[in-house]
This record gives sequence, structure tokens and C-alpha cells, in this order.
Amino acid sequence: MSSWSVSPFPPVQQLSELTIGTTLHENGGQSRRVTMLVSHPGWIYKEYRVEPVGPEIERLDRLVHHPHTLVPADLHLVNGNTSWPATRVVDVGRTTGVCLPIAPPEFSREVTMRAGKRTITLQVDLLALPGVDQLRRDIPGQSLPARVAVCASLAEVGALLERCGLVYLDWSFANAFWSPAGLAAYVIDVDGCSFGARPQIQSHNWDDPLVPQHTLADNGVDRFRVALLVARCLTAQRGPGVIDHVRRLGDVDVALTPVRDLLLRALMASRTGDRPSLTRLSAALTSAATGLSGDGGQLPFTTDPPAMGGSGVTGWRTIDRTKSRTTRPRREPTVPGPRRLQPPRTTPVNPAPGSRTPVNRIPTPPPRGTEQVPGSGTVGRPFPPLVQPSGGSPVATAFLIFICALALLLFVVSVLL
Amino acid sequence: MSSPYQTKVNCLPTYILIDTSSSMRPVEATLNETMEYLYDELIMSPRISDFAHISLISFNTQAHVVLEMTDIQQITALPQIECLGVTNFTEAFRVLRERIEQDVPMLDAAGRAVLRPVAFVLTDGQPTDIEGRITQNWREEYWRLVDPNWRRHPNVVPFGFGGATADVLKEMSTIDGAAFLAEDSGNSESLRKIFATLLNTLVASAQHNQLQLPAEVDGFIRVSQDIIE
Repeated sequence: MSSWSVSPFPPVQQLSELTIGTTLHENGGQSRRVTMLVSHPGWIYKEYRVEPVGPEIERLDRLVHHPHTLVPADLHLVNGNTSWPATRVVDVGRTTGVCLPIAPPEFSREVTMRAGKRTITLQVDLLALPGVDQLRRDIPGQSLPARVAVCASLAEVGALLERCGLVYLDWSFANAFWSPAGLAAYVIDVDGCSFGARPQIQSHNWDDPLVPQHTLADNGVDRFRVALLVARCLTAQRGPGVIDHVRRLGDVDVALTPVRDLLLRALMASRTGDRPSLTRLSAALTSAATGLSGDGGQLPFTTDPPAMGGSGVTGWRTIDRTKSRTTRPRREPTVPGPRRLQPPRTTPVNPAPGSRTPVNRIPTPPPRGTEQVPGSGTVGRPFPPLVQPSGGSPVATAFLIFICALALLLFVVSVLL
Repeated sequence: MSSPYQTKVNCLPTYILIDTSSSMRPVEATLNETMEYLYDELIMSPRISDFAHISLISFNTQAHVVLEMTDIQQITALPQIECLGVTNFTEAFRVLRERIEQDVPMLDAAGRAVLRPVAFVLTDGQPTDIEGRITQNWREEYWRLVDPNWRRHPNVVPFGFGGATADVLKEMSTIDGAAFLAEDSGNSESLRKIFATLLNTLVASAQHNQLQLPAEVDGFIRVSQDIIE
């Protein structure tokens, strides 16, 4: 496993001595491109869009050197949970980028997609989903204790950076990975950290209401964004309603009450200085991770039912991520114009005068009470079994009444006789 | 106690209008494959589908909403498209306008800040009437769709290949230079490139929280007002 401590690079590396391999990303954030290094397996080269000069070079060098100053526990975090820059890369005297370790394999997973198997990096984007939606992606559904453990790891990295006086700012769904097996988080793009405050960066859907863009941002912003990321991963709620779900965390398990209180303070404080430190959040999450009861309760979220509907094409290919099977649709007569889907369910919406064009919708899900049979091609979500109304079926009730009436009649007849 | 964080999240209503006329039959399999590819990519990047809400409209003699603007998490099946009929843009634009009128209020009611919708039009032919004759009659419905006086008028970004022509694509585009015509690669390859471009466009748009269109598309000519056939 590559990590800062086993870096094969000198503090400043000549670009000419690197063999560039496959491009992983282009034009993302501050980088022009990110490539694999054929010359150094397990490492990537991040080429900057804008050449760092003056203080920026000093900052990078200080960052590359910084782990030397850390205690063993913190160094362990740097190695296991961050993509910390190992060297500054120069080309003919100009700084062009940095080399960073690749995340360990436990932060990736082979999943079955419609086009076949593929290995994906597990961004926390996929953690901040309800368990059923994770299963639909061939990813194990994450329990609340698992989410708490991953978030504890994430906050621990945040706390480390905060202790070091490093301001990260770039917390988002894309900049942290997670390991379902190790229940750990891995933070990338650490090379963007500054020592002390710097101008706020634009980060859509992660906007800090108290620190607008272009104003100076310090660890107060990190506290807000880490809290928001943790809140989204814990509750699987991605929109503005996340706060309402955070409020309910304490009801799910009392062990989460301190976490709930810290998250609410971080997200709702009216001054950045009132936001609790990431060390406190990290400690609360770590404590909750060990204090949660067995199953840890269910997340306080609800999931909308699948959309219902019908038609317009020749059929539908069901989505069964675990087997990648396709249910071949029955083909209908090839007549242009409206047609019905399998199963047929159409809803006319504002048809033009004289038109019978249906609005095509999602096909009807399996009937309630069925469960997904592995490999059957049945669509994703199992449905709860049918609950019979108390008192049994109407037929049984009618039969019972009939028998009672007959017995009563026989009794009356026998008395009269 | 109210939260300063409770702000609306932007979303981009995204319509993909796919020409499924009979001339598309040779690429029918590719069309179905590439839709799977797009779905796979979007489903594995929830942050993109948080932003771009996608609806699929197929059009030939008539137009059909084959995938409503639903949350991608809720999609349990993908449409199997079959190509037949003529290239009736009038119907396509009529249905698109209808859907925008329904979808935008729905997204607004869901607490989203709704950006101007975008419609990507994929076609391999010229506009025809229902008899299959080339016609200019589509313009009336098109102008109703993009009428600036209609608050919800969308941006239209056409991609053409096969028998599509630059002048029609140029006329359909609402943004100068945002119309693309395949050079000479096969239709299947063009279709794959279009879907890859669509995906990249959505990724970039989600990243910037607003519509980001490609400056260039590999294998396509960018049709703009400056290009004369």
C-alpha cells in the first residue's frame, strides 16, 4: 500500500523521471489532469491547472514535510486515511504538480452494472444514500453503526487537520472515500490545504451561510462542512431537510444524542466561533460507534415508493444490479404511435383533442407480498408481505355467519317441535 | 430555531429527446445500450442526479414520454426503444412544452431552485410531416417552445448525425454554437459519442451548479452562426 511514509520520492521530484500512465480525471477543480504513474505503481501525478509560485510553493513544501512533525498516532492517520502529498513535482524549474498515494483497495469495490462488472471507488456520495438504494447499486446496505464508524473516521481526519492548523475547505461527496469492510474514511486532495485561513472556495450545496465566497475562511468552515457531510452520511438525507433528520438522531439511539447536539450546533450556530471543534465531533462519533446497540436502530428516514406507470416503448429492461440480468420484453406489433408497456398502465395527461397519446411512465412494480428472488430479474425493492385485516377474509366471515344462522334455525325448529 | 443552512438546492430539468423514426432502426440496439450506459454512470454518481433531473422523450410519428422526470433512484426499469415512423418534430416540441409545464412546478414544490430546463435533441434526419415529407411546419411549435415570453422556455441543444443537416440544427439551437453535427463516423459511433458528451455535460454542470455545454465534441462539427454550408 502506498502512503506518505513509504514515499519513493525526494521532497522535490523531477517530472522527467516520472512515467505518466492512464489519465484518471481531467479538468477537475485545481487540477488539469490526474494520471497514474507507470514508473511508481500505487502513486498518481496531479498536474495543476495554474502554476504555483512564491508562497504557494512554500506551502506545498511545508505540507509535504509536515508529517515528519507528527506523533505516531497522527502519522498513522495520515498514512491510512489520507492522500497526503509526498513530493512537489517540477519541470525545468517550474512547479507542475504533486505526487499522491492511491487510496488502498479497500476503498474500491467491484460492482455489477448493466454493462458488466466494474471496479468503482466508493466515494461517500454513495454512503449518503439509504441502504435500499445502496443495495440497488450492488453495494452492501450500510447500517447506522457502520455509518457512525465511517463518520468517526472522517471526523478524525478533520480533527487531525484542525490540530495541525490546516484549513481544508473542500469537503464534499467526491473528496472522501469509504470502506464498507474497514468502516474507515479516506480523504483526498489534501494538497489543497492551507496553513491558516484563506479565501473561501466555491462549493455548491456545501455553502457555508456564514462565510460567503471570497471572504477569509478558516477551520470554522471546515467544522460546518464536516458536520454537513457527517449529517448527510448518517441520515442518508442529501437535501436541506437533513437538519430535521439530525434532530431525530437522539430518538434512534440515545448514544447518538451528543453527536446530534454537536451537529446541530455546527450547522445552526449564528457565529462561526460557536461551532464545536472537529476533535469534539470526532470523540462523540467514536464514543457513539462503540455505544450503539447491536443493530443500532433504523435510520430516521423514509423512502418514497417507486414511481408507478406504463407505456410508450416496446418494453422495459428491469434493473437487477446483483445479477445484471435483463428481462427481455415481449415485443408488440410494430405500429408507430402509442403503445403499451409491460405491464400496461397508462395515464393520459392533457391529450390533444382527438389524440389518444398516452403518457409513458415507469412500469408497475411487482405485486405487494413478492420478494426479490436472486437471479429472477425481479426489480429491486422487496415489498412487505400483505397484512390481512383482522377477522379474516369476507368469505370466511360470511360462511361463519351462515353456519351460525343454520345452527340457530335448527335449534329454534327443534324447540318448536 | 431555524437553520441558516435551509436554502434551496439548484436543479436542472434535463430532457433528452430521441429521434426513434424508422431511419434510426440500424442504431436501435446502440440506442438501447447507450441508455443503459448513461443510467449506469448516473446511478453511481448520486450527486449528479441530485442536480440534473432527467426525462426521456422519444419521438417519431408521435412523441412519448418514455421516462418521466422522476428521481433516478426510483427508476426500476429502462425503456426498450423501437424505431419506426417519421421524424415529427412538431409533436416532439409540443410534448416537451407540456412536460416542462408539469415538471417545473413539481420540482419547485419539492423545494428545489429550478434552473432553465435544457433539451438535448438527438436526430438522424430532417423534420417531416406525418406522411414523411420534409417540412418546415415544425417551426411554429418550436417558436412556441422557445418563446422568451414563456417564463419556462428551455435551452435547446441539438445533436445531429446521418441525414441531419447543419441548417436545421443551427435553427433549433437556442445557444449560439451549441449545435453539433457528426462528421463522417458511423451512426452508432456518433450516438455513443453523443451519450458520452451528455454525461460529461451533466457532470460539469453538476460541478458548477449550472448548465455547462461542451466547447467541442470529438467527431462532431460545432454548428454556429459563423459556419456557412
